[in-house]
Amino acid sequence: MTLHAALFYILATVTAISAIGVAVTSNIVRAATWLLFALASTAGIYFLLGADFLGATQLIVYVGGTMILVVFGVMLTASGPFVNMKVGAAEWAISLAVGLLLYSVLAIVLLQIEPPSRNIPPNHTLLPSKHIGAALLGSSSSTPEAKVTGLRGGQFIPRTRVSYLLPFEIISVHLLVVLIGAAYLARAKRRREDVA
Amino acid sequence: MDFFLGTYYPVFMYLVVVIGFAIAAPLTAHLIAPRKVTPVKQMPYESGMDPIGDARMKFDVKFYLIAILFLVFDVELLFLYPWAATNQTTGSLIPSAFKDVVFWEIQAFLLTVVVAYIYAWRKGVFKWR
Amino acid sequence: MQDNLAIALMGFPSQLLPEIILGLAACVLFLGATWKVSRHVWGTVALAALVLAGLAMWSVHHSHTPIENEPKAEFADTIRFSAPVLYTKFGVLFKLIGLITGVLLVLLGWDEGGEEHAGEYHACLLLIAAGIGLTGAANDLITLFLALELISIPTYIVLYLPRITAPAQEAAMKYFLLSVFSSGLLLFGFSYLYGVTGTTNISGILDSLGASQGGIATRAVPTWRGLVLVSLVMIVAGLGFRITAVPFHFYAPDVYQGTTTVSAGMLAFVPKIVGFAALLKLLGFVGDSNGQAMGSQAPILFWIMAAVTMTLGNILALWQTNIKRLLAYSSIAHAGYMLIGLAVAPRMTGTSADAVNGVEAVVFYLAAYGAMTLGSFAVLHVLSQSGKTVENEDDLVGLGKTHPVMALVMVLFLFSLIGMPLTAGFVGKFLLFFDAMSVFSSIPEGNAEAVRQATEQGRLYGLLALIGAVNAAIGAWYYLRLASAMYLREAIMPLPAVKTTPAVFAMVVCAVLTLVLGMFPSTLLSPIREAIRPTIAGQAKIAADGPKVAQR
Repeated sequence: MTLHAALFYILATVTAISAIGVAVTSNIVRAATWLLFALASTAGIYFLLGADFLGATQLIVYVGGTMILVVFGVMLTASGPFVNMKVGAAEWAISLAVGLLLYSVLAIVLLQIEPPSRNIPPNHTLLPSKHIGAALLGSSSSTPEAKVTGLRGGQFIPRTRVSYLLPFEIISVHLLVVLIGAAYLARAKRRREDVA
Repeated sequence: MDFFLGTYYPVFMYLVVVIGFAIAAPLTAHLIAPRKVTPVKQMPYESGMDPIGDARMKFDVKFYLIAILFLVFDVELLFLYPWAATNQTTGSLIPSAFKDVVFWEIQAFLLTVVVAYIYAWRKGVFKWR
Repeated sequence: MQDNLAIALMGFPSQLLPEIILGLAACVLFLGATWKVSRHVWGTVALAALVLAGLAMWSVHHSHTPIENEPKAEFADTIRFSAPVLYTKFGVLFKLIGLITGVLLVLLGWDEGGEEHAGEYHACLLLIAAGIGLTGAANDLITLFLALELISIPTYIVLYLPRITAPAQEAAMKYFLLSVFSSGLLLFGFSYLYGVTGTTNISGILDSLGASQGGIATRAVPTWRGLVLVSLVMIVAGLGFRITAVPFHFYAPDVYQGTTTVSAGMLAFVPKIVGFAALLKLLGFVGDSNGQAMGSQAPILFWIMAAVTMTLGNILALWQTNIKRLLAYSSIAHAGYMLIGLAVAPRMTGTSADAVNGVEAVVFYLAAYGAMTLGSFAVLHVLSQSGKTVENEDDLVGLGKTHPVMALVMVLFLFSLIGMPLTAGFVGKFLLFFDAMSVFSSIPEGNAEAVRQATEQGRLYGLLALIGAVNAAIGAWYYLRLASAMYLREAIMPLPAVKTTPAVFAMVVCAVLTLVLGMFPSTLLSPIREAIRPTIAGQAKIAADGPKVAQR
């Protein structure tokens, strides 16, 4: 077993166990902590795949930001020292059944496919974040050219040449609206405090 | 673009040191430290102050809003980082035909950030009261 | 080649001029709202922005050729397989629908909520209008997802802004959580599609999935089929929330009841139209891709969804006394009727040029549904403006005597929802049911096995049309109950007189649209047909690609 594989198995195990922990524990703070581990080890898997920008994003946004929100949310709303979410036996049974069903469907589907051929050589030596930057800014020369499927009649069509310039701009509008929503939420909360 | 393990050797070493220290320090203390239990030592430590009330108290909602604002601007920043990494590299990462468009695009992106910022400012979101 | 690519990648700012104008206007409104509080000023600015966007659309229409009409095939292919947005007739149609919807929503929302939020409120409505146009134009999974979210995120704010009552907050929260969950499902489906095809470009995905004979069913690597099916199911689930298809419908009655009348009207229409637009695109029913790739993979799924959705929606609506809840269940039922079109669509390729195929019927029904549903919510909103919120069936009692004009307009919308002749609803239902029936009559010549299969399918779709007809009859019962309450019973507490407000104007526009679409359906039907039908070159390609009746 290579070091690569060993690292992958370690990270995958940590992710899986933590994810189960999130679902199983009834204490909300513990669930948040399990989620932290699950997200962090997912970031590790991204690094392992060579997507260092994505891994860093995962660490900064999810592990660093969203988790703080979750914990703050708990601290804001907790009426007692320990928040417990009691789940009934029937709910357990149903969610377990649904989860297992989905898992088995996905597992069967994924086991069917042939492993991807490894003969696609990396055709560039960019650092991935530069790579993403180039793609985001509309230079499509560096998007990955994965040729997984057949082409009609041997005709070559540059499948992966896609510019993310426009999505980039739409995202900025999204963030604007999100911030306005957050600002409104802030004022609404404050007004209620003033009334009280 | 495959994962090049060598890049991460310092990270591994760092992780080993951190985890090792985290285990070794309490363990050493546990093994060799002398123990004299007094009531004062049993108290929770809050920078030398006498602890007041319960540590598990409700937090002010303001902290939460600051966290949301942080997260929004954090994500804005993340979208700017790849541009920053690409823009200054020499070579043909961004073809010359796209140079102008890219410049104006970044201006537009920054403009929306500024709009959001001014809105939040005018609405008094940054006031701590 | 490089020039083509540059045009493909950089050509979007000019063709998206209407959306850019709407976005800029939204920024102006957001900022302006912090300086001046006035609903009339910001309402007017929003209307002006929409008109300006309409003018921009008109000028773009004259300066750009839709990709279908592009004479140079190689150039068209380059653009189709690389651009994040396409300038197509389908996109133009949705831009137009988006702008009209935007105007109606701005007029309806004129007096909504507190005056201090008017600027933000209208800005969000403008972004929603832009999102509808962008969904129609999207040619990339990422653009499509972002366009859908450009509608969802402002919607959360619109739901939350007008009033801070407990039911409204609960409705906003419920919608928010479920909407985020459905977006997650959608992304999951998208990730599998990307994994299978190696591209996020929708044209590219459809092309590679339908690469050789008969779609992926007989492709060289059949083992990938499972992945495609999983992603198809996830995408349908994610979009099913937006179109309120059973089993993703359960939020609708609670949310519509809890939120304001205008927001409920918006929720009944906007997510549905973009949901169907996205489905049509992803399933490949638009233009040259012909549904072979994705749309024909799980026809029975849509069959079941259509049957269950319309039946459940109609039967549950029978028991409702709250009008908003009733309209929520009716919107579920109408989603079911529209799903008939999706179930039928893969069977209708290759029928004669005169026949209307399922997809065209769906798009027509969407427009008709928008006019009549927004209209009926507009009537409720106009009646509620004098103080008392009109919510229950009893509030409408005796309306025929106290407000004869309002009652007449409401009856028009109700008749259209039933599907009475001369209204838009009739044409829509007729097209859908007729399609389902005509599968039977379009059995191809060929070997015995193919004929037997086709006959069986014809029976199946005939049954679907029958279920639809029974449902239309059930629907007539509760719509007529409302109408009879307005005319046959005496008012105990008559509603106050109606004020003339911008919302009245929106109501009139909806009524006119309902009548025009009902009496002259071809005004809309022929542009839709042009937008949906494959080009001549595309037809040749499809004919070369494989059999018309795909394998189950």
